[in-house]
Amino acid sequence: MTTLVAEANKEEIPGVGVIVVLDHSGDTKHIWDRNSEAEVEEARSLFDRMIKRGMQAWSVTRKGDKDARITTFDPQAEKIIFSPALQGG
Amino acid sequence: MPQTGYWPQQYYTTSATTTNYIPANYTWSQTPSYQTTVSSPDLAWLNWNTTSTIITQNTYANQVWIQWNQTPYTPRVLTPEEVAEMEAREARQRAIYEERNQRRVAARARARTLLEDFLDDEQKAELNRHGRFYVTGSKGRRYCIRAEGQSGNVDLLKADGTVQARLCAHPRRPPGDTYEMLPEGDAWLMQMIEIRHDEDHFLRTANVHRGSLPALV
Repeated sequence: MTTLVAEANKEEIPGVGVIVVLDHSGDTKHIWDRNSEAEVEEARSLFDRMIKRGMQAWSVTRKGDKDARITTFDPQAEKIIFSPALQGG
Repeated sequence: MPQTGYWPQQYYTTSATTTNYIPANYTWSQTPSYQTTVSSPDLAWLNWNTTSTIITQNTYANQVWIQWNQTPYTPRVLTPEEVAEMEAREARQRAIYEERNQRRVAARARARTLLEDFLDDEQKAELNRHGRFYVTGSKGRRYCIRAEGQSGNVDLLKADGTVQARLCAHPRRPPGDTYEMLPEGDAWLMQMIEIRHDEDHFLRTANVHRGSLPALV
């Protein structure tokens, strides 16, 4: 799995999933190849760590037609965004 | 009636103003008999300020004032080593501040890029032109996310486009390693995603700063 620290979004690449972790530095992107078992496992492990830290996971698409809050890793997800939960201010 | 040959000594208590008449030949080395006991530091401060204003004609108060002003103030002279250390410390602080500032600017730019990746052309144009963009919620209500910080920056709109309620819901601080908030672009993105996905949940989470919410099922 490749980690791109705060690189601008690229067009969707077929066969590639992206985990975007939002933090105070902007975001960190982790890219995995859906066809590589090792990379899928690494992505799953990252997903579980983030959930344990209390982050919320969203499986999203650019158009927003498949937005969903998820709690388990979906290897077929195009893009997963991790963010702290919203709170009233 | 004031008594001749006496200095008037006036002071305040919490309940009344008292005037004592001190003999003109009073020896100030003696313990004054008119000392009062105050119940708290605040009262002592109030008493001191009030008294010092009232009795400026009093010899004793004058002496205190003169002595206070004539006490020479001699600032401590720093050694060259101390000066060098202080300058080095200030330089370190400036460097930290600059670095943090640059990181924030970069983070804001990245967050904006990520946000724009999720906006359609119309939303992007609106954001760049007017500093806001519109989102349709999962139940069909319209929202305006204003690019003005991340608190109280979401408006729930009526059908005619006017504001029904001003809402505040923003991401918490990222857990763990930082005390800083997410950059604004990221916060707007999360507001948009939550509205698109489950606007009732967004409305339940948000605090209403102005206006009122519709009935939620």
